[in-house]
Amino acid sequence: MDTQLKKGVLELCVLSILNSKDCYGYELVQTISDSIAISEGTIYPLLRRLRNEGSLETYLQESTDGPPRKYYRLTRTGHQTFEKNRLEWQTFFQNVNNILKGNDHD
Amino acid sequence: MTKQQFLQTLTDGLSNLPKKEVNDIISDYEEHFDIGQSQGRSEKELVASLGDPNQIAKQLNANFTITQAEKTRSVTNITRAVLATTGLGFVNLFFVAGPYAFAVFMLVCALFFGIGAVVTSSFFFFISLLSTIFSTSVFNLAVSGIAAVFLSLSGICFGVLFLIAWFYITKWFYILTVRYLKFNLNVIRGKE
Repeated sequence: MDTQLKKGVLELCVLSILNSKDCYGYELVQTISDSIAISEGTIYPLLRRLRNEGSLETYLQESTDGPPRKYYRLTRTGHQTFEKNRLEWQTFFQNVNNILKGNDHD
Repeated sequence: MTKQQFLQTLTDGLSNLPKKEVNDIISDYEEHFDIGQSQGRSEKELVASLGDPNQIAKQLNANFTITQAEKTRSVTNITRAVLATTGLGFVNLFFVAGPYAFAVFMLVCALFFGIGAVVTSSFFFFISLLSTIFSTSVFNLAVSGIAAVFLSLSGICFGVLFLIAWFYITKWFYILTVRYLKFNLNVIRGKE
């Protein structure tokens, strides 16, 4: 898949995962890289930016094995951004699919 | 590359960021290594899947400078933001620098055109003043005098309006630039 296209939807993926549950960085990175091939290190700058923009906030939580982990959760703004971006994506995805289907009938 | 080398390269690439910010970033990656290793992945494997630390540093630099430019409006901040965003790679150089250079060019053209218009009209106004002064009719002189007063008043008004408009144009242009840079961060991120 085209790298630029892929990078563009990373933000949506992050928001979507955090919309269903809070995650620590490593967990989030693994969840995404299980489905999409990315440079895993680029997720952290994205998380930092989303936090600066007020979509995410962080908190520390004890873990059973090892030191406390930094967890990320969506803020109210984050939830709103996710809903907006999801709708935009679905519309876009559907429109592209419609065009592709038109090609199948030829 | 070892974990130490990865973290060192990243730290070196972030020399423009505040120390507190750098420590926070490094601790994120340290946590990543700790958890990864506790799950049985090797240091080398983790370094490889994280990607190029230089590229990550560039991305963090771009994020940081754009946030700075947004917080405090200054020519230095916006220049840094543009440079950091263009530093992300060749494609960005094309995407950012191209349209940006064009916008700057248009603004400069507009400024020169404006100044040119003011200078030309002042010149003609001066000529017309001279011609009235040397004309003999007293009546003409009085009429032209009144006209001159009103003309210069309107000139002042337009000048002030132009200044205000210019102030807003610059402000909008600044905000648009920041937005445009952020858009670039969304479209092109890192590399694979």
